[in-house]
Amino acid sequence: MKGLLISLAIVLLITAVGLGASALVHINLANSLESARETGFDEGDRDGYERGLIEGSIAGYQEGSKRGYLTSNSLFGPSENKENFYFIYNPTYKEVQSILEKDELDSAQDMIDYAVINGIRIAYVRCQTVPDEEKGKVRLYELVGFETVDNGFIIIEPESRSEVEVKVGVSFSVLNRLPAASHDDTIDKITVIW
Amino acid sequence: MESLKEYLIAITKILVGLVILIGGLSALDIFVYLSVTGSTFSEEVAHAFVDGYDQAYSSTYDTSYEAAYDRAYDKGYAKGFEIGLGRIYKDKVGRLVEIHNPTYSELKEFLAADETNLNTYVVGEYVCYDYVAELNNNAEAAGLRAAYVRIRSKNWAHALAAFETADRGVIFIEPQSDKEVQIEIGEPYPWWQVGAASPTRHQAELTEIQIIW
Repeated sequence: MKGLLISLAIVLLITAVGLGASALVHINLANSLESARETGFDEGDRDGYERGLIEGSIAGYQEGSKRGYLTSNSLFGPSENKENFYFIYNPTYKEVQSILEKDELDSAQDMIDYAVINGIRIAYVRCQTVPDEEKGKVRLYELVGFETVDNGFIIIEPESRSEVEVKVGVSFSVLNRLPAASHDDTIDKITVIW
Repeated sequence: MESLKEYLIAITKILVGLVILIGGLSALDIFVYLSVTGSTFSEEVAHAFVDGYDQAYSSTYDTSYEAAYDRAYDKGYAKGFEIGLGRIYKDKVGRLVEIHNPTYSELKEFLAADETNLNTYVVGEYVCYDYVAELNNNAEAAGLRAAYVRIRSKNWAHALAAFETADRGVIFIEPQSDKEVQIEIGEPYPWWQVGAASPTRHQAELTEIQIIW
């Protein structure tokens, strides 16, 4: 009788341990899934916000600017037969200066994104230096350009937000009176992409 | 001595039974769960991630889009009105750039007429981004809006063009051949199929796509 009770107790213990282990596995599975869902939610939330902000800004600006342009035309002058156009304009020199005052725009991509959202025509200016003598590597200056209506074509170095000049065969730092670069920064090639 | 041996055998049996039961129940639990969902565990985790991502993306995107749209509309209206007035009063002549997103057939016509793809690829002199620069600048001169697209993998970078067609959405063009190309993060670039000079022998997957309008 005693042996039977001990055996029964052992069976119950084993069953309890087994069920406990099973429950742990199940909880672990559920936790992993919940964690993955939460991570996905956070990333989706961030990406959705950023994408919505950019696309909504571009779409809203385009729609508003076209409507505004056509309205002023129809109110004050001979209306143009324009419907299918993308609103993009060349800025004044002063408008470019106001872009440069924005601290958050410190890369070519930032400036291009800002310009695209605000209908401003901007060029990506790619300046390549001569190859490094030892490794043969070239360095890039990623700049932006504007065709200002009152001051012609100007090139901006986005990090310093300053107006710069570029010329093939001339050192970038010398041309722009900057501290000497640690590498040969003679410009080898300039590509302007509108 | 004999009873000790019996004890040891009994304990061993119990331990073995315990291990088998725990293992069996755990395996059964996983098996039942995955059978019900019809996938592997890592797939389930990936699905959970995607579910969460999609759910948050769509709701946040819509809210963010609408708020941004309204703000930008007003700002754009004011600027459009101003530029429109400038045209009439001739004080800021030529500010509006004559440009539009082409239709698909307009794009095809432009590409057929444009001769950028006939240029010769010269290593170190006329390479992928030179093709894009020339094609895009020609497109803008023809009144078509084009984007400069940079793609990267772990060991190479490449440049191509993109157009936002009015009827077929964004179309990527390999300017060395004028062929349309599909690009996707995690997929290799089809150098050979689109007739582009490959800067590398490695067929690594794309890790970054950057579109500069």
